[in-house]
Amino acid sequence: MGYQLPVIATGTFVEARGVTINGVLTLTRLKIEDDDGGGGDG
Amino acid sequence: MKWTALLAVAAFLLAVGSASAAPKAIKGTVVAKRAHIIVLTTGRKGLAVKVRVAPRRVRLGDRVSVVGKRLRNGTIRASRLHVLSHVKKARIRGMVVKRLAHAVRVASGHSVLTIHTRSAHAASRHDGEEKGELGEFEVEFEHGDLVEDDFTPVSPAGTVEIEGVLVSVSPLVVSLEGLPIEITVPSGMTLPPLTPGQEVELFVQAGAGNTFTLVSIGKADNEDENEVEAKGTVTSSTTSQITIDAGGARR
Repeated sequence: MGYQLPVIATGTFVEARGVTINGVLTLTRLKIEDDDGGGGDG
Repeated sequence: MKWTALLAVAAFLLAVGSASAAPKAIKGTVVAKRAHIIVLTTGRKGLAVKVRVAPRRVRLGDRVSVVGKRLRNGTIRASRLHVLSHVKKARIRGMVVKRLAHAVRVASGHSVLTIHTRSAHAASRHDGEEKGELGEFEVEFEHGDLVEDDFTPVSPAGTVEIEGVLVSVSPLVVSLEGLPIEITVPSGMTLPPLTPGQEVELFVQAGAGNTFTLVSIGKADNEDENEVEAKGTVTSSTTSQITIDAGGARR
């Protein structure tokens, strides 16, 4: 709806949030996780 | 770590058949687990809901979808439960009812949850949350415990939604997991027919000295929460759609 998602490479680990509206799950936030782990200090 | 924040953008491909077919599904994150009872924090508000379930494999942090019937005591008896994904953090909105050395007890919905703090609270010090304080906790799941990551207080002048069991109508007292809260009904406000013992949902204005003034009151309904969270690997991606394999559930 006016926005375009970035195309993300297959196999990329992501964290996604969304809402279902009338049975359609709509993405609201997408976080791409790095492979190096990190301290997770949020 | 980089964030791509997208507002109301594009569709996930949803391959969890039951999700769209469940009219009264409640989705939430498991924040407590007892024998036959789990506590979910639901929706953006992060209110806690108790669910009676058959013993099964759910872990703290599991994001689940529950279909069931709300019982008189406010608990939901689940007839179906699906684990959707697993998350590391959750939001809980509630009121601090007790402050311990390394934890706070927080009332949310019908439940009182223990949230561990990373540093000790000294009773004489004013760090950390105070008893009676309302707010939103961001918690992390660590070794079967809830550990506070962040706390955003709700302004004492703010309106807060609470759920509980009606103890009495005059004075208006609502029990949050056995903790009675007296709520002032503004003069001129007419209450709907209420019966002690019934589950109610209220908006209250929190004031100084832990006083609460009623803004609105209604019968609590099953929530139809729609928020979904998933982690997994991308199996396909276009400019309008992304498919994630979230370990058993593709979304």
